Amino acid sequence: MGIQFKNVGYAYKGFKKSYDAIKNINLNIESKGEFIAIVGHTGSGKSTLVQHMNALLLPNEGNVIVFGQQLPPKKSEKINYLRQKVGLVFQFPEYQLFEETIIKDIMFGPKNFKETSEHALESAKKAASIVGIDESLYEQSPFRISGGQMRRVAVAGILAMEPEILVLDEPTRGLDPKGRTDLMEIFREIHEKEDKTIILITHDMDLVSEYAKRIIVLSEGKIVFDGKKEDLFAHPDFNSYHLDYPTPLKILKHLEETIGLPFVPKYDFTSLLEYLKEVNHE
Amino acid sequence: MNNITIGQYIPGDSWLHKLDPRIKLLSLVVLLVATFFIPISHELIPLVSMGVIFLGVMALTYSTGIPIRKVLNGLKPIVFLLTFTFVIQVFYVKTGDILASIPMYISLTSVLGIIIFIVFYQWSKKYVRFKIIYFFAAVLMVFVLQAYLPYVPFTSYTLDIHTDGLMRALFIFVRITNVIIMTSLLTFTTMTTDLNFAIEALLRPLKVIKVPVDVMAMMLSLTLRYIPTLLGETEKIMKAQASRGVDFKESKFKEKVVQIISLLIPVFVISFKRAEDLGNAMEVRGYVIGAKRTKIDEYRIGFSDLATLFISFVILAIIIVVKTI
Amino acid sequence: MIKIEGVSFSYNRRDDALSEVSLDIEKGSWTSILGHNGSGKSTLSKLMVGLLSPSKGSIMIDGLVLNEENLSKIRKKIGIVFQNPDNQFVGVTVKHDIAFGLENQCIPHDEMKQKIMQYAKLVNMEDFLDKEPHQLSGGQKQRVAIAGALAMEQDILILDEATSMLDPEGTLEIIELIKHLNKHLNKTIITITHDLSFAAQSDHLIVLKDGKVILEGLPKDVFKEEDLLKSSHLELPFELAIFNELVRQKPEDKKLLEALWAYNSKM
Repeated sequence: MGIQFKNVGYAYKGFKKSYDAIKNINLNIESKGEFIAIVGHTGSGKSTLVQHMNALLLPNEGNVIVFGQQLPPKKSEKINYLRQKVGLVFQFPEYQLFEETIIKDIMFGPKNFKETSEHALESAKKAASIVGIDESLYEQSPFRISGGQMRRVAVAGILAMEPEILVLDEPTRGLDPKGRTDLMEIFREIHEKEDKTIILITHDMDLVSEYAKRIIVLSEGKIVFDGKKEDLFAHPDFNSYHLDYPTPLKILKHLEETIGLPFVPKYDFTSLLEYLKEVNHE
Repeated sequence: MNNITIGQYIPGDSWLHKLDPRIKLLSLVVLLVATFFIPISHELIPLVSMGVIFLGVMALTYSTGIPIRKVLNGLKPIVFLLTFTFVIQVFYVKTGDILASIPMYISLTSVLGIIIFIVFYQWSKKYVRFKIIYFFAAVLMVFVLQAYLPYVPFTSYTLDIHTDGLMRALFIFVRITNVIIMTSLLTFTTMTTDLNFAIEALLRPLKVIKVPVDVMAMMLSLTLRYIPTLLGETEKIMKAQASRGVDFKESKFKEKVVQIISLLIPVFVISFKRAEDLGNAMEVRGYVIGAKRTKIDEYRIGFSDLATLFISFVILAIIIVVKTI
Repeated sequence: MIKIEGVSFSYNRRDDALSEVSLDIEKGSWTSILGHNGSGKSTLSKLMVGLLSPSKGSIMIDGLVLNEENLSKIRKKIGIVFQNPDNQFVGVTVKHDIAFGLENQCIPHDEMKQKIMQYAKLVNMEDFLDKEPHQLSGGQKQRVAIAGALAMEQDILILDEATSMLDPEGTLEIIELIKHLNKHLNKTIITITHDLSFAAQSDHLIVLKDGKVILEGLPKDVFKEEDLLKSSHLELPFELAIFNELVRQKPEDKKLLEALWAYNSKM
């Protein structure tokens, strides 16, 4: 199951000519257990790529298979149900809020997929507690809360649909540091507790380093790297990807150069701290 | 997003492109008035006048370098109107010599024939390049079928095609075409910012009767500036709500109402926030409603501008004079 | 340059968004105002440009008291770039947007043309003068906003979370520009942000929490107060946090600590 891309290409029809957003995409994403970061320069095709995962866009070339459903579909096939299976959270998702109350807005997704009101309410309450929205806020208007809370309500709206795969397009853009950490920890918990596959588009290499297991690098619409994060940062072609090194690696490189500290790659705060505490150097 | 431009401007170097936008707009208004001044009739002089205007318009189009096909495509939205008026004129004008008298049958066979043909037309029209011409041919076919399939008749009528009817129909057809093409030429050869300026300039005399022309011009300018941005944001919201299950194709009517609300409210919210932020930004940059301001845009009226305006007025004068004779 | 004394402000007559805030900003300095969302930093910036008036206290800008009379004079001294690149871009094209402030000041046409070219060049947007805003990236739009403010030739520029909505490329462009404006053009710059890596590069830091100033001083001194910063929902940048942690847990390793500090200063 999961998601497969077979030689997928998509072109935007422009005013005079068409413009290839993605080309020759071949990918295999498991339905469980993955934590993938999709990185690449602005305009490299990341958003276009993930919009194929829930059938918002259909490929011009090749095929995408989502949980067994072939895309593009045959004439009469319905594909709306895929959006419940693959939940996509857009950038600045708080723009999608519209209902009279917070709980109603979170229920909007589940209700569109034909759940009964009672079941939708259950799912909404569960999702609200996952993101840390307290019961006391349920009847409030979604427009009278802080920006950070609005973001969490919007994310809850997708979680309430109980998707099998979660796709996040720069979910922390515009948040303050605490908001960023809080939100990413929510996703980490979902990933670890429910073994859910999470796909994350981001520009923040520190986020990639801290949370992702597998990294897909896009450049000019093509995949130039698909593999483990450890392999990416040690890759000989790394510089051609126009990516920054994550801070822990930058610090380790600096320490190697200045005081001869043996370079052992560490990717997050805790492991870097442990290493620096124990290691002996010249 | 980069390939959306506001309006239909086609870049070019022709004299029409280079004309001052105020002159273009004013000349267009004068010429439109002139065109409508010619009374609808089947007589020679009005017909010839309209025909001459048509030739003039074609010459104008050719001089701008804009492909005729593009200009004629501007007729697409009113193809129904054109056909409808044409048919009405042919059917209802009973003066003049009878050109042809055709018995028409509304019969089982003709009705069936028409239905089958319509189905064929709907299916085949996507393969046809010249869609407007194909449409006219199809309408013609509907009448031809009525003439040639008399079997099992319900009722019949006689279509008398009078010369006057045909002439009047032709007249109206050409007039509407002229008006559309003239207006299209304006929008094809003038950038939206320039059009904006032209509208403001032409409205300026209204300041005398205390119409807030400057404020209206600013509102128009801001609207134009934000249309592509709003379109982009609307598209993003549609996608976000689609990701939550909103699907216009696969939903019932009741659901559709809520779904439209889920698109409208976010757009409104974004727009209200934008209005507040924009107001603050404009205020901080020194904008005071109604206060005097200079303008970065500079337009110079040259010889060709004055000549064009003069010629337009002359044409109007000639038509008025001819009409009163 | 800016003297704020005992300023309070409330949006709803109950809770104070700002409570008895006093601070001084020196001419030619680059000050960063930090705080969590809701700490009052945006309110402060709006007060400084006269979009709001304080319920208590006073604000002086370059010797002028900020009040209704002086508002137009003050608007010639202090400008602001806001967070949302789309919500402050007024003009139909880049050229028109930079011109907007100048048109409001009734600057004659030829002088406007020259200033627009001059300031567009300064922000590297001189090739984009005829482009419409939806053809530009967020970073480019913010550069145009800065050009527009610079064209008004004000001495003080406030950047209110000007990079919050931008991607890292865009943010970097703006940071470089700000450094240039401060060091080479002697503009007094005030940046409002919650990004401490960004703020670390400024001369002077002010931290707001719940409408009050809780910390003030040089970046390196402010960053020592980790607990106070945490309570303000602010996080030390990764490299500083590691440094502080090692100071606590391995203080004897001077060499390591020095090398880490050198990394921090390199920024």
